[in-house]
Amino acid sequence: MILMNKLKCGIEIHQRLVGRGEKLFCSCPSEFSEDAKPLYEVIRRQHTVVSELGETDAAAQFEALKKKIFVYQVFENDCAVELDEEPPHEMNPYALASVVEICNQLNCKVVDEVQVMRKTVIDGSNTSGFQRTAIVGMNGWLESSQGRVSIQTVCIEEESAGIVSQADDGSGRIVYRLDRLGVPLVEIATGPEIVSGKHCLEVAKKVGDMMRNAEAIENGIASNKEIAQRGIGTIRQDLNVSVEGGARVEIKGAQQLGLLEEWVESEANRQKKMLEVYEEIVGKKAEPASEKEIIDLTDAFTGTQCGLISKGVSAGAKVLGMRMKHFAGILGKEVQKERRFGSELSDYAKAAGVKGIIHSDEDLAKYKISEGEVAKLREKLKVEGTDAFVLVVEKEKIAHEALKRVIARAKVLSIPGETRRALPNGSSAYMRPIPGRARMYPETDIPPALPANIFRKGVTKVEVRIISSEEIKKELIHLLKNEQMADRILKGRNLFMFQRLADEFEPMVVATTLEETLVALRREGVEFEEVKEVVGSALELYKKEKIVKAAIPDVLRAIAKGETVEGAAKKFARIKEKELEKLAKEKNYDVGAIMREFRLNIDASELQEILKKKK
Amino acid sequence: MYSKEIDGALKKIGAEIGDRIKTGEYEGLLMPKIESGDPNALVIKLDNGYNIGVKIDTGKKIELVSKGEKIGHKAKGDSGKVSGAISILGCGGTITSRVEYKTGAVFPEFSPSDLLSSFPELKEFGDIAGRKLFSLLSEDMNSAHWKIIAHEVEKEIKDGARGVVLMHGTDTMGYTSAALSFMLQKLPVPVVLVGAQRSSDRGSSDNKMNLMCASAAASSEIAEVGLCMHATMSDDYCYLHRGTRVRKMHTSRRDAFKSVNASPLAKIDYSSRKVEVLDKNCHKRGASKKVELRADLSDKVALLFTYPGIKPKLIESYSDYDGLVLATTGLGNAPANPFGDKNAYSIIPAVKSLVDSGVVVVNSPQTLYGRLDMNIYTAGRMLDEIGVIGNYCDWLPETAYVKLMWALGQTKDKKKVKELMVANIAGEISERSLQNDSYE
Repeated sequence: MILMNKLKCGIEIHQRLVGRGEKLFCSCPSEFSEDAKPLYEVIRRQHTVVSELGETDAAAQFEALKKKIFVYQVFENDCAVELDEEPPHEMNPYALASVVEICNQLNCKVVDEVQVMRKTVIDGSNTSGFQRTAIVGMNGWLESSQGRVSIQTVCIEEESAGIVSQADDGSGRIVYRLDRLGVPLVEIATGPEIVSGKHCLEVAKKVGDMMRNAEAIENGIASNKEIAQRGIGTIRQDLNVSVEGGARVEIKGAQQLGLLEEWVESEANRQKKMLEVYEEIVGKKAEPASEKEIIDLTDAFTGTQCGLISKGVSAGAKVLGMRMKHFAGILGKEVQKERRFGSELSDYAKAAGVKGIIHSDEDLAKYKISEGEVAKLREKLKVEGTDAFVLVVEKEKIAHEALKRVIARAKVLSIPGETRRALPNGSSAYMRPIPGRARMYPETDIPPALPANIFRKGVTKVEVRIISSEEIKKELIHLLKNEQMADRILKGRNLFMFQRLADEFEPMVVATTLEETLVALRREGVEFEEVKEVVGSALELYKKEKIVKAAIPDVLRAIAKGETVEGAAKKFARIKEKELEKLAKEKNYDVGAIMREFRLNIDASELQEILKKKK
Repeated sequence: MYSKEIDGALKKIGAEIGDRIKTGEYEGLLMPKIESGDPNALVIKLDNGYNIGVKIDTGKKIELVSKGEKIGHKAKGDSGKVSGAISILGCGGTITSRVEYKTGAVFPEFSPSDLLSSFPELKEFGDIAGRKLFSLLSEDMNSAHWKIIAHEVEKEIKDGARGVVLMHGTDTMGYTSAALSFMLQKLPVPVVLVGAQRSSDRGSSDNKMNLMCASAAASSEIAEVGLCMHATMSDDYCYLHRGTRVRKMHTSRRDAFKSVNASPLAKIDYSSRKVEVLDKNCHKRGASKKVELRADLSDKVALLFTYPGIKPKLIESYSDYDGLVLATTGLGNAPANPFGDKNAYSIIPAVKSLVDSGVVVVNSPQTLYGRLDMNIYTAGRMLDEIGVIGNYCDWLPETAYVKLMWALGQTKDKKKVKELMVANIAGEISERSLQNDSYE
């Protein structure tokens, strides 16, 4: 039996900030729509540069080795700064004020002078080749059910560009969208005191709620403006997980809170399972082939039914393979949900530029590799009894490099420190080695900021008020008398807009308009530039009894299509009082017929009143 | 720079930049204060790589934990046999600067071995030789530096260089390229100026593509003074611009340099390094055997924009100069008040007295694009009549300025100066305005 290895976990939480509507180092809008269309594209390349230590950073070099072409899509909310065609402007003071307040909430000591650093990133996610980041606070803590969790650092950063696509045709083309680049971001890094997946979720939720329920207060007056952006992608987590006997593994892009627990537990479990696999490797004296034993097997597949191989070969690829002595059964060993030890090796091969590996613990029939071909392979590779084999199909040089990496990985019998990508099923895949430490140097284009004196003359003072989720929920239930809707508003992106509109209009009508009508309209492709203004004017018409509730979606649609508010009001004008009495009489008081014809113009309860009176 | 108090406190404990220090709860490497920030805040590099500023109030203690390595950049020596090689000469600017990563300080340093280690692909172009002429930001350069460069380029060519690349700051690179175009005539090999708009520390720097394309241009058949920089915002191709026709048209963009009133000499593809000649009439490699150095320049020349409200007194103040280039409005006009408006005045008498006293006054268009025509409006006609030269020229004001310095350096005879000025020496004037010139 294996002892429960002790789990250690730290979490990095990244939350996009509103920054009073502007990006961190330029005045472009910080809000953007995922549906926006790019205006044009710019093509860039990046090269490795000598780093701080006089050697290029291992992680950076690793990425650069793969020749890449970066295509940047430029949007309306971009300027020359995002394109790396203009130096950054001064730091957005509202974003900095928000981060200072977050530091205070997390019991951090705020530094006297915020020094912006350049953190090398060479995956193309930033046009400049680095991300601008700065420590605002340090050495804080927060209370949790498992005791205090330390807050190591709170940083202010610029958001990276969003990846759109990555070509797998060998062209090295990676497409990024720049609308996201430069949005202010706070990064909160906890110490490794998190002890379980559940605990991790608790900490993430606590920090997330604190930021997302925070309201900016300007000159002592509540602004009704949030400091944190809401909606999909506005908050995401990276995890650092290790178990005793394992290693620190960084899991990137753990975006869904619902899966956080699973990602943590599944990584801890993977490390345990990998240790078991290593034991088996040692026990069975399993050993991969040497580099010299890599063989060209292309001839064995003449006339093959395997599409992957025949297509590859006709495009100039070779089938290279090697024996893995005593590895039968080991390659197929499950280490994570839907992932085997073979998948781990495959990830390393992929980093060399192949699409994956084929190994003998897989069902080879699914590749349409025939038994005859397998027999030929086994003979050529001298695979016997408990041996396994690995194949790759790629241009010879890349294929060779891929198998070299498989050999190197198979020889490592400790958990490698890795950066892994969170997968949607709760597991993760290898991305790259853990980046080296020395990846930062000062950003000399931006003067240091002073948290004690963020705002220059003429700018109002900004504080932040943090309200607890429970408090907000209580208020929402009070307003809506509907717990389900209260939950939707609390968790959705419309909380602050709801609060602003619910001051003036019937809360439940506001809630259904924001959470249901707008969602349905967006699905139709109807978009608004000024959501709050448009919804406000439609609700105003309803409040003044110029339209009925049922007409709200149609009025919104009409306005989105360019109709004026007055025009829309006329088009869907409410029929009421004497006019309605007259209409009811004309239609012989046939409620069904009247409502069928005038559903968008008549308030049903008013019609009922008229009928009641008549009776 | 740190305040006197901090400097004193550091000296007292024997702490220097790069040493490990501790103050309050913070411990890390002591960093220099680079230009901006509170002089009373210590900059410390924490172990996680971040720098922070820690305010040192009276009574706050700084401790020296341990001595560190000395921080600095060691430039390597010059190298390379010039004969048969591409000779790369460093004049300073962003493209030759290196960042010292610990502090972020910029050193305007370069050596050929640095270059080859940063850009091993340079070997594609055969032997590379090179040396540093000086390390200057280009805004500090003047005609003295242009003379040094011209002499050094001549030397490289005489020593058998297959082509010369000049690494240069971008701000005044257009002036230098124009000056060299007049000073180095009958070039047997290409002379290519190159710079960078993004610093070399970043992976996105344009230095590599510009240098590769410039080296391709220096290996090409185009034996002229050219300037090679990004043609677009993308890393796709560079233009080689004619030295007298190129101008920095943007403060920060990669494609800041544009050919004005002319087509670029060539387009150079980054991936293939292919040089596509766009100006078929360019001077070809080997068409002349020996470079002709004509490096004398007069530095008593000025360049002045005319503008609404310009005062005659300002014009008069140039009476000590040998030459003055006016960048005038429109087709070549300046305030002349031909209609006798009561609120307007004329600078014509002031210009006339300069001309009469022997100052060579030259006209050029501040619109940059297009050709002068001093016959269309009264003001232009008046300037023409009083002896301002340059009618029908389509040159850049900066090129006219550099050319006037050069012409006045070639002869003392004002008549000959004027003849030299209006003759096309290095492609700076054209007879025809073509539709495909890069006006955007």
